[in-house]
Amino acid sequence: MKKLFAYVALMLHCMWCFAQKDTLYLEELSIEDGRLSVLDIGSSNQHLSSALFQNYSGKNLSDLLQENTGIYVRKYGGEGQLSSIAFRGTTPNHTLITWNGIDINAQTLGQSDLASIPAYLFESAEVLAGGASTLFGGGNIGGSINLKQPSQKEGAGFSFDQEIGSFGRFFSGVKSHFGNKKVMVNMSAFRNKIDNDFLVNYRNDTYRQNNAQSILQGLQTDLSYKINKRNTLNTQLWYNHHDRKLQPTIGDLTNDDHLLDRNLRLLVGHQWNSKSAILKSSFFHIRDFQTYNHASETNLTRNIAKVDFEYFQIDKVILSGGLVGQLAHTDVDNFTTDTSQWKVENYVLAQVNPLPKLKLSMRAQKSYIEGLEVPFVFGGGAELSVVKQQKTELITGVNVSESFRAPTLNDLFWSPGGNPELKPERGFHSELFFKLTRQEKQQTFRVTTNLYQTKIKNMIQWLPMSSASDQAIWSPENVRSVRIRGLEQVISYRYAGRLTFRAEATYSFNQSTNLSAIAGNDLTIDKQLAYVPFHKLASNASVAFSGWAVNMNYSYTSRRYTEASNRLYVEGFGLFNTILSKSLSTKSSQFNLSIKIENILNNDYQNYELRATPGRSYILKLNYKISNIYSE
Amino acid sequence: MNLKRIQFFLFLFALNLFIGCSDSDEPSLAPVASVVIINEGNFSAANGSFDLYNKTSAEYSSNAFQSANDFPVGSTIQNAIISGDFILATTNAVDKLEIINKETFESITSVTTGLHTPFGVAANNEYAFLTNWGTFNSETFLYDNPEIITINLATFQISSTLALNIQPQHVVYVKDRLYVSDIGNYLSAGTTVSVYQINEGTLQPESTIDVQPGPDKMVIDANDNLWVLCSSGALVHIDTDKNEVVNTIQSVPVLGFNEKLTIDPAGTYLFWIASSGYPDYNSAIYRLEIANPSLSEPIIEGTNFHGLGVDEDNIFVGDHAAYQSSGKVLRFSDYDSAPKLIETLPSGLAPNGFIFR
Repeated sequence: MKKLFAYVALMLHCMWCFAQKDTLYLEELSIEDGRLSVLDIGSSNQHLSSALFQNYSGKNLSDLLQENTGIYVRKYGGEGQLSSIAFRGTTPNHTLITWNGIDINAQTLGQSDLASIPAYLFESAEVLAGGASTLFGGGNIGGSINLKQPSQKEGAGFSFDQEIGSFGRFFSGVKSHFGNKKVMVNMSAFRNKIDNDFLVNYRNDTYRQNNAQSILQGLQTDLSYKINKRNTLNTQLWYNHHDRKLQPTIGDLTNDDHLLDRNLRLLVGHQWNSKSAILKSSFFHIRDFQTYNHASETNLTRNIAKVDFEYFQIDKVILSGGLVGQLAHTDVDNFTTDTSQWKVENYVLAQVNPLPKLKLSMRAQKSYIEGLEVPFVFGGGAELSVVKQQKTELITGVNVSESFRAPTLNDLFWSPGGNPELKPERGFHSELFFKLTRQEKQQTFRVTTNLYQTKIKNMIQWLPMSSASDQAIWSPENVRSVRIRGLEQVISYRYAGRLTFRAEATYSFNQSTNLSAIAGNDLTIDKQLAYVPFHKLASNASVAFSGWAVNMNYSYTSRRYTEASNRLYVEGFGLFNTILSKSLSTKSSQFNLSIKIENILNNDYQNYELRATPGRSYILKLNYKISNIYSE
Repeated sequence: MNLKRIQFFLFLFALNLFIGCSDSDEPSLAPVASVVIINEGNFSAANGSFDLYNKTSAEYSSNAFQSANDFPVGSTIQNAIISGDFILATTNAVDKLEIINKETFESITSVTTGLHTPFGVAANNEYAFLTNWGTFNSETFLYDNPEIITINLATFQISSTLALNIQPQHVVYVKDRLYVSDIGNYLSAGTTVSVYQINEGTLQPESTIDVQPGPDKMVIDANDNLWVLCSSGALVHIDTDKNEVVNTIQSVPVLGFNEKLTIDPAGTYLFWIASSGYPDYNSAIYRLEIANPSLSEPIIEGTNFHGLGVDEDNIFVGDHAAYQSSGKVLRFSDYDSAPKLIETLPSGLAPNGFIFR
């Protein structure tokens, strides 16, 4: 296997050549065969591991995804600034972020700001692509990201995290858990401040970035009570408070735009389970509050009731179905009146394994949304184990699915311009994948390749509606059609002996072509959508030995067009980060100290057009963890 | 799986990486070009630009300011004029007057402090005069505290600020006086053009001339008289000796706001844009001969017309592409007879005007 090492080294070297000045590291992103795999037979499912979340504990989902997945995150400057997602060649409105199976995207704007989702409160996440990625809702034309909370454990533990770093970074966080056979409690809280006062080159001089401070704070609790063998009660709370100044464009020294977000998410649930069935009933109360420049307010309250039922025989059949009802109420300054919207959604899903090597799934979903005609959506997939030997397995799969995205509340009710006549967008997906795994005693090698196509119809676009008598008013219309063709490739290698070595690279290619003309002289037909890079690479390599660990991370994002005719663009950029850490452990406690260097090569780049980004920066991090207080 | 296969996958993977590596095609600067395309850009992205086109050599280069300075000019470029050796450009993201070397496109300096949504610009040899809409009020959706700011072009300092009680739009300098179109706002359109005397960098109101609602773009003709296009659909001819309205042409097709009125270098023909708006953006260019001021059929028809310029030979029309992408520029011959499309040029975002060097 020495040779294999050499090839991995060569691979890394190739990346070095390609980037000319950067290199890479890789954190294991194993493909999980968990319960959720029932959703996406024949489709892509990437697991973002707890080790990865630990490395990003003082950061938010924005950098975690941009630096470790094939997803492109459009970030408006420094850390904590607005960050929106382009998953599989789609726009930020096309990815759902879910918490306990519920869509937490802002219902007004229809997207999530990844900078407001702290990595600290979550243990891991699943990245699911395409129409097969959720059972409820829709909005997942690109896919969905399902956040996973820390699992509950018996015993008692405590951990403390502290980070300091360049550009006014100061992070503090505490986590604790307590549990016995009846009651389990998890609690976490954190505060993350960064000033983003990095140097900006402008007018042949430099200045310190102004108006870019971000303070994100949050807490989460998770309490379970086991009534008896079959019945459990659970309540969860997640409160988020994000107070930030909005980083202006380069050279704008006077702007003082400010955004405050507060989100309260509460869940009360009951779970009944037997050997072959689970029934989950949950009630959610979700409040989203946003104020822009201390004046323009957006208030949204949602009450959601949800029931899921699942029947299963291990390795043979899974049948599930669910029903959810939501009532949303808005109090938005830019809507003429306070508005309510109800929706009811349900799904049925079946997975059968007719042969040991074959898995099949079928799904049907129907939503009823006030004032909208939502079509039935169907999907199905198949997975076949083509080669299964002692050490080598090759699986291939196909998936065909439909999806939709309902118009957002802004699309419908914004004043002026909201258009209540809008129809939902439609997505049509097809996908083919291959997964090759080779396992030896201490080594695992895996290659996954996904080829996919998505067509989006009735895509909503805001257009100017000026007429000779009024100012330019923009209004949304179902005018766009888009075809996306793409490829995702994940290669990973892992060696676990006295020394652990891991390397992984994720590459994605997305050609997102606009097929529709909107007005005369339309220059955008057959052009790539704005801010969808053709190429995205994220790669990691790490070595761990005797409590010491070194991680290297390299990510590259190719040119993004800044407008739809593809004349103007921002250059591609590569970033190289590294972490060096040392752990000391006793029987039940662990002390970890690490230093992270970001943008090691001090690249001057722009992710979003004309928003400055930090140069080389340093983060010093300390983690102290007591795994079980009682055993001390 | 044997090592050869692994090798093959690694090769595929490396190949992927190389596909990802493509060089950019940086445009080269062509400072001799005669036509400057003003691309107003998108407010939130600060991506306004100047493109250059040489009619003789057909050389085209985009983003001349960025190329010459290595920093962006900003957005939205509201108006730009040539004054002596300078190009003077007003921008709103950030609020500034950018003073640019006319030949090289290097930034000489910019004036930011004290400006509040600068819009129109005019100049004499000593001073630049800027109309300022004022500070945007997010509760009323109106601008508060409109003003005219005078900037000394030797020191680049503000020499005076004149507070107004109505939102101004454009400003022109003629016969030692300043004419300002008092456009008002969407709730209450102005109906006057105000005349100011200039006294060592300070302005004294002299008179107001009653015109039609929404006085917007103004030009000076061959006789140094003033033409005002009002967004209510009127073209008003003002005698600048008497400061009186000579003639008002009613029912003129217009854009409805931010009018684009221009005049040929000889000062004999007026040109302006009219639009049907969304969804078709049917646009038309109208022409009026000053010696024979009667409204006739449009001379050019099309869609998405946004900017307009006329030099000694050609009409240039900027196409905003429904604000969905970069626009384009249409060049026409025979501005004084039946214009013919000669060529189509690329442009940046929302080409809203032209200057000719």
